[in-house]
Order: sequence, then C-alpha cells, then structure tokens
Amino acid sequence: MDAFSDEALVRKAQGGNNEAFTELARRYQERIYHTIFRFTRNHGDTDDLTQETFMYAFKSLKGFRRKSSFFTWVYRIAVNHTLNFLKKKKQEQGREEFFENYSYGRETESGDSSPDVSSFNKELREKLEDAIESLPLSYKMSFVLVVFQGLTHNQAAKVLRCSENTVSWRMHKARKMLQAGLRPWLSGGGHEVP
Amino acid sequence: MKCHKFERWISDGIDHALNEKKSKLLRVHLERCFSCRSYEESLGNIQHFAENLDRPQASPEYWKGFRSRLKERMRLEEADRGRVQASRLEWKWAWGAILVLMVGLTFSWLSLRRASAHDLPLFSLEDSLDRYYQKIGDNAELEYAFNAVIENSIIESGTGRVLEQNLHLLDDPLIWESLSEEELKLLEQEVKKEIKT
Repeated sequence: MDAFSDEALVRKAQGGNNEAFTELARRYQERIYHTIFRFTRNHGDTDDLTQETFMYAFKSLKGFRRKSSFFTWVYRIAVNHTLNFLKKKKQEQGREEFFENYSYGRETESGDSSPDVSSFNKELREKLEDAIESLPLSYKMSFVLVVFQGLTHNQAAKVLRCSENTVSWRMHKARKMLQAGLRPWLSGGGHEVP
Repeated sequence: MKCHKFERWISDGIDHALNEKKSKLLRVHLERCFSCRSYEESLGNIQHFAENLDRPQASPEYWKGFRSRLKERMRLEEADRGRVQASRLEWKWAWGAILVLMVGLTFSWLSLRRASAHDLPLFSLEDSLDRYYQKIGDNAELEYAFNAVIENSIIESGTGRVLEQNLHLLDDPLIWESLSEEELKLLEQEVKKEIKT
C-alpha cells in the first residue's frame, strides 16, 4: 500500500478496499491532528475531531469526485468540523490550559547556547503563541494552514472555499497584527501607526 | 506607490506567492525604504519562530491505537450500511407488491364495469314491438295486418314452426329468439308500409 499514489488509493478505497483508506488516513493523520490541535489546544478534543474527520471522509468517499486532491478534501473536512466544534463550545483556551493538557514530547529550537538569548527566544515563542491564539478565527485559520501546514495560497483557498486573494489578504492582516503585538520583542519596529 | 501596498507584497513574498514582476519592484523599493526593510525583517522573524514553535508529538503507540479505533469504527459503519441497504431492499419489494396489487385491483374493477356495460342490450326487441303495438292501439284491423306481416316473415326465415292464427307475438318466446336485428328492421319497414296503406 505504501507504493501507491494517493489517487490510486482513493480509487481502491472507493471500490471498497478498506486497507487503502486506512493507508490514506495513516499518511495524513498527524498533519490533520496538528492542524486541529492549533484550535482546540486539547488532546481529547483533538483526538475526537481527528477521528470524526476520517470517519466522515470514509462515509463520504463514494461521493468524492477527485476534483481536488485527497489531502485538500480531508483538510476541508477537518476545518469544517473544527469550526463547528468551536462554535458549539465557544471556547478560547488560555496558555495555562495548553500546558496542563499537553503531555507529549516537544520539538525545541536548537542552536542558541546563551542563557539570555535562550530565555529571550523562549519568551518570544510564548508571546507568539499568545498572539496567534488571539487572532480572529478566519485569519488564524489561514495562518495555521499556510505557516504550520505549509499549504500554498491556492491550496489553502481550496480548503477554506475562498479565493487566493482572500487568503493573501488574511495572511497580510494576520502578520500585521502579530508584528504590532510583538514589536518590543522583534528587531526592527516596522511602520509606526500614524 | 505607498509603503502599505509593499507590506502586502512582503507577506506574499514570504509565502512564495509573489510573481516575478512584483518581486522585482519590491526589491527596488526595499533598497530605498528603511521602514519596509525593517518590516520585512520583523515578518521574517515571526515566520521563523512560528515554524519552530512547539508541536504536540504523539507517540507511535498512540497512532497505532488511533488506527485500530478507526478500523473498528469503519467495520461497524459497514455493518450498519449493510443493514440499512437490506432494509431498504425489503421496503422496495413491499412497495412494489402493493403497487402491483393496486394496479390489478384497478384493472379488475374496470373490467367488471365494462362487462356489465356490455349486458345492456343495444337493441330491445320487446321495446320495439311494444312501441308499434302502442301506436296501433285499439285498431283491430291494423293489429291483424301487423301480426300477419310478422307471421309471414317468421315463416320465410324458416323457423319451421307452424303458428296458430292470431297468436300474439309477445306471448311466444321462440319468435323473439328467432328474429335477428336485420329481420326486425325489415319488419318495422313492412309494418310502416302496412300502416300507410
């Protein structure tokens, strides 16, 4: 199953081959998980939503017309489920909750040996996390897909069902807000507000 | 062009979403504008730190368990699907049978109606002769003439029965049965002629 392309696996899965679908899920489970986690900040909810995303994809697979790639389609499902979840819960998780629920290993930044630089960077990272959390939902969604998941504007536009221009605009606004909020920690103040 | 337009281009450039023409124009502007260069540096730092933020790393055991649970849910979903399809098929057959029954009943009812409509006589011999006798009324002579015509017609048609004189036609069922439509029409014509004469 590893050797097959996504398209070939989708065709097999649509023909009733469940192993093909399981392989597709294996390929994208982590990316979907990380994307959802950026919004829920909670392992339990992320786990549920990730399962729901793939179950929904499994049930709807026969109706998937392959106009977009499988991963774009599954991302769209994940985004919709997450947005619906957030609307229901209306929750804004603070940083304290994030550290309480976060029980897995971490990737840490390497290379900075000086304690001052290290603590500065740590503080900047924390402030950046807070700033991203406080972005408006539509800006945050574009930012997460483009920056954290590496999607192009075109791919993100397909996932979010909007135009590329809209994604570009949201990215610009998100960065502008982050830059304004993190000015004291960033070298180079940027443009002063008139 | 104002700097705020270049700010958007700087953001697009970080995402590799800027075309060649705009890239060149942006590079030319950045050489001259310190503020935009600072802004570009800030966004670059944000991008670098964002890409290197902590990511939740689930263990391989977690993912193994995740896939097992997903497979189990898929199996249950397929079992449910099978049950729903079987139930839908049963309902299809039931509705099909009901439809056939209704069509059959409708057809039978229509056939019965048509059959009873066929029982109605198109031509009533009794009524026809009765009408003429009513017209004849008390005219004994005319009645005698009419009966004679009928008698002769019957004999000519070869029924083989010798009729008694002055036998009222309506009393003899054989006479009724032996006359065809055409014969009756001829009788009518003969009677009319007799009445005229």
